[in-house]
Amino acid sequence: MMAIRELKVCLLGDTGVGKSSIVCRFVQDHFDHNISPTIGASFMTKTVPCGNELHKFLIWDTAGQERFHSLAPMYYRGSAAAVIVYDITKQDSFHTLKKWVKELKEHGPENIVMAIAGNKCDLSDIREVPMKDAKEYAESIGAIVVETSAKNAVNIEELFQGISRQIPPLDPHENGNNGAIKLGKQTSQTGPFRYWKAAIRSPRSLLFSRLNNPNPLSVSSQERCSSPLIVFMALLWTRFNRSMSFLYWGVP
Amino acid sequence: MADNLPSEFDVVVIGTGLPESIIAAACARSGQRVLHVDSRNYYGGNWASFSFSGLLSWIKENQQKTDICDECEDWTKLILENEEVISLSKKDKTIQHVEDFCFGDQDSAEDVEEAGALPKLPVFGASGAEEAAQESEKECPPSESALLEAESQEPAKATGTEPAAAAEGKDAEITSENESSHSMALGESTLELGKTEVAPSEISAQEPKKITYSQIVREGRRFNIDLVSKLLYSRGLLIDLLIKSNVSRYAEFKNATRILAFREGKIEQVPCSRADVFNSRQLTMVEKRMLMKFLTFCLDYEQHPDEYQDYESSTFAQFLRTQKLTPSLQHFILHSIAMVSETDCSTLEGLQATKKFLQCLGRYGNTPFLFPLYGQGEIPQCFCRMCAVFGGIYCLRHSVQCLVVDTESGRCKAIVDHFGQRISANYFIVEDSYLSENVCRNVCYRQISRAVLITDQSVLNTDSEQQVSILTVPPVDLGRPAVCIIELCSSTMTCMKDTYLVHLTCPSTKTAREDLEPVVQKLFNLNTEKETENEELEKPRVLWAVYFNMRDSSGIDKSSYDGLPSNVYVCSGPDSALGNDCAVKQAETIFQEMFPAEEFCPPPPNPEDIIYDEDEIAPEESGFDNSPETKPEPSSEESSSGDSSAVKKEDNEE
Ligand SMILES: Cc1cc2nc3c(=O)[nH]c(=O)nc-3n(C[C@H](O)[C@H](O)[C@H](O)COP(=O)(O)OP(=O)(O)OC[C@H]3O[C@@H](n4cnc5c(N)ncnc54)[C@H](O)[C@@H]3O)c2cc1C
Ligand SMILES: Nc1nc2c(ncn2[C@@H]2O[C@H](COP(=O)(O)OP(=O)(O)OP(=O)(O)O)[C@@H](O)[C@H]2O)c(=O)[nH]1
Ligand SMILES: [Mg+2]
Repeated sequence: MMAIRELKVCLLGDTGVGKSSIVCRFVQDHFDHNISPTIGASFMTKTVPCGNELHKFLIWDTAGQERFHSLAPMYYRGSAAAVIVYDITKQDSFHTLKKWVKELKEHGPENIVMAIAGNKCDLSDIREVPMKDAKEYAESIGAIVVETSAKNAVNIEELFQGISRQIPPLDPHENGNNGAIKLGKQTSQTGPFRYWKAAIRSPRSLLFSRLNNPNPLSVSSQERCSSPLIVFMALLWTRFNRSMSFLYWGVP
Repeated sequence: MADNLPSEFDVVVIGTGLPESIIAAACARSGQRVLHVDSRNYYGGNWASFSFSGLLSWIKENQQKTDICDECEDWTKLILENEEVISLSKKDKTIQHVEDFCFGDQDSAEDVEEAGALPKLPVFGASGAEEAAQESEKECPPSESALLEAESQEPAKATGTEPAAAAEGKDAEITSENESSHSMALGESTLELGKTEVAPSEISAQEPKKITYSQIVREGRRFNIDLVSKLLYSRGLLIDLLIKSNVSRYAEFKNATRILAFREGKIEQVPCSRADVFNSRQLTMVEKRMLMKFLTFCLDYEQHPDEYQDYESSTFAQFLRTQKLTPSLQHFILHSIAMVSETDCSTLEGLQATKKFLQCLGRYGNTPFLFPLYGQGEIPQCFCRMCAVFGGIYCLRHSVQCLVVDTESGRCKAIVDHFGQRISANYFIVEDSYLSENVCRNVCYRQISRAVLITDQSVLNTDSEQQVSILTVPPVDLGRPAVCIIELCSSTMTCMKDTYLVHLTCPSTKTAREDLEPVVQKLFNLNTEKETENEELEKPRVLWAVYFNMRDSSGIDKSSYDGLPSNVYVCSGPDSALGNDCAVKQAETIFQEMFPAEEFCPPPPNPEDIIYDEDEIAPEESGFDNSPETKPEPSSEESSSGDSSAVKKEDNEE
């Protein structure tokens, strides 16, 4: 089985340039002319294969916080990539793109992959931003650049494939997520408490319930694959029980 | 990006601290039109975290007690005849006695710049400094007299900006000063630390990598330094709320990995899970059995009233003495597990605290605590994002000049912002620090003493250097507060590699430095290498430190504020407790008062939350059925979810 790698991607750009439309096309292969300005989408996900990995994109939309220049730094945290969108029919939107790049450099992670999307290329007859300008600018900041049309599904897949290719392969020495914990929705199935009790009364069943039911400690995909580690821990646990079992008798 | 701010909302929230942000999220979630503003250019207020350079600007800003007198639009014309105004405070006065120290060489640190960063905070020009002492008039005892006294004796000294040479001399001065005050205060020869004698010790090979001040500055972006130091109890109200509201999606956490205790001058790891107890090398077999037995009892102490009812009127510490526990076990339980005061915690409170701790074990790991990656400052931002997702409008750098009150009804009708725009709403949430002195004149505030250190190694080195530890240092004098220490490693994304971020917190009795420096001296080496004695070498070296007092506005009854209309609610700043229950409770109480019929932060129904998650929304389904049992196996190869639910709006602003 291929390893799944979760990659956070954040979207930036002026209102109305087609950020939501691009994501909608990418994730759902769908375009809606009457899409209303995003008051806030949480995020969408889509998995694509890349080499011998699967890239699961977690795509974040700004939720409108950028309207009054109040985007929270947590929006950029841990982003593997940012898609900065402008509208090729609006010079202004290309201008603000540069501000977003600056903002990213300031608040974003260091090695973030930047991708510039010149959207609405189906409207090239009323184009205001020449492709050449965007290419030059992208080169100067080391970003991917591509002209897209969410409407006609032009270059949308390619945009994300481009990002996938730029993502450095996982360093085998470094645990991808540093063992970070995501809080799940389900509460523990072993009941709301009794780690102590459960451990005392039946170490085995606790062990298995934890193995089979990683929630609420929903170990991210990276870890889920490293089951040898878990098995090893399990072994330790059992051995430990045995060697200490005489002690239980002291506990009424 | 520029837009005009609408002039009508249902709820206006002023301040982006944790309780305000939770309320904003809850209101937006229940369909209210929310405007959320903060006069600062960052989220979180006193709950914020800063990069290193951000923190330096914050320090500067709080040391220069300048009044911001930026020109505000005239608003008098906006006030009608039958209206009154309540002016809001222009300057945050919740931070006092800020003192920062740099202990490494500041080798040309002046020229070093944080990589790729711009100054985060506006730097205020120097001008006539307003004496901090003035405002401590309003702070109540025990802080009042002590603070004033300290103020006059010790003018704040900050080396952060001094050139290297000056800092060098300064260090020596601090050291000798420390020595005297230390031995006076503690009179414990075993713990002697602050020796100034020069011991030209050779730096051995296994010495930890030396981090210099300029490296800290250069890598400043790797720091996320919290103004408040808290942890999340894994079964606390905040975790429950994060999970229930789905806001947990926006954050990731690390488990605290160790509970430490400080006893007889030594730091030890407290065994708290069952495995720890058995693995512990410092406990004898007999102690292990005692501890197991006692902790097992605590888990359901309610079922065994006969075991403790004779001690209900005594303190928990006294109760522990009657149990079959050795002194070291009593210490562990009292200070590190229950984390309660030796002198004024009753048996029942102690049992409760112990039970809470034990119940939190094992949900996410071997200790009861979680810490958010990138710092506690992320949490308010997560709730703000949820608010925005449900249509809330966000404006930082947006101050509010006044509240407009209808004379007849006595209710607040509107605010006037610094642009002179009048914005009306039905409910107003104001964080305490925004209220003017007039309103707070009868309020009695407590203070929190805080210190933040950047150190070069952990207080307790073990095989793994990536540890998140919590350590309670009991007071030297009974009756004084214990100091809570949280040590963070670089994998929490709060400090650069090869450094540790150490937070010290206690309720104030004096200035932060006076409260906390004795503890810092016990645990850390404050000398520069050359003057370090051998025994000192084992302790972590402090590279940089800051002390400050923060106002604790928690637990204040609304009636203490003067003349606030009934539809204006006050949120408090951070409290001194370790957990976040206080903020969550306050948020829920205020929300429920405003909207008694509404549920507080219910889970978002999928279509409205607009989460297109291929794993969670089955293609042909409506999207409502999201229970794990019916969840379809995600086919890993799928390239498009094909889900047809369109983007739906909660409501349409424009
Ligand atoms: C009267 C009594 C009271 C006890 N009280 C306590 C107590 O208070 N606290 C405490 O922690 N322990 C207590 N124990 C011990 C504990 O319940 C088990 O005996 C112990 O967990 C078994 O683990 P082990 O690794 O020693 O077993 P092993 O020696 O590894 O297992 C023996 C065999 O039994 C099977 N087996 C054992 N347990 C399971 C299981 N749960 N599911 C499926 N197969 C299993 C295995 O397949 C294995 O082949 C008590 C035991 C007894 C008999
Ligand atoms: N012709 C054409 N129109 C497009 C394209 N992409 C988006 N649009 C239209 O542009 C408008 C804005 O698109 P959105 O996706 O809502 O833009 P957005 O960047 O998400 O806007 P905000 O959420 O307000 O920031 C919509 O009317 C879309 O139909 C495209 O590729 N071609
Ligand atoms: Mg949008």
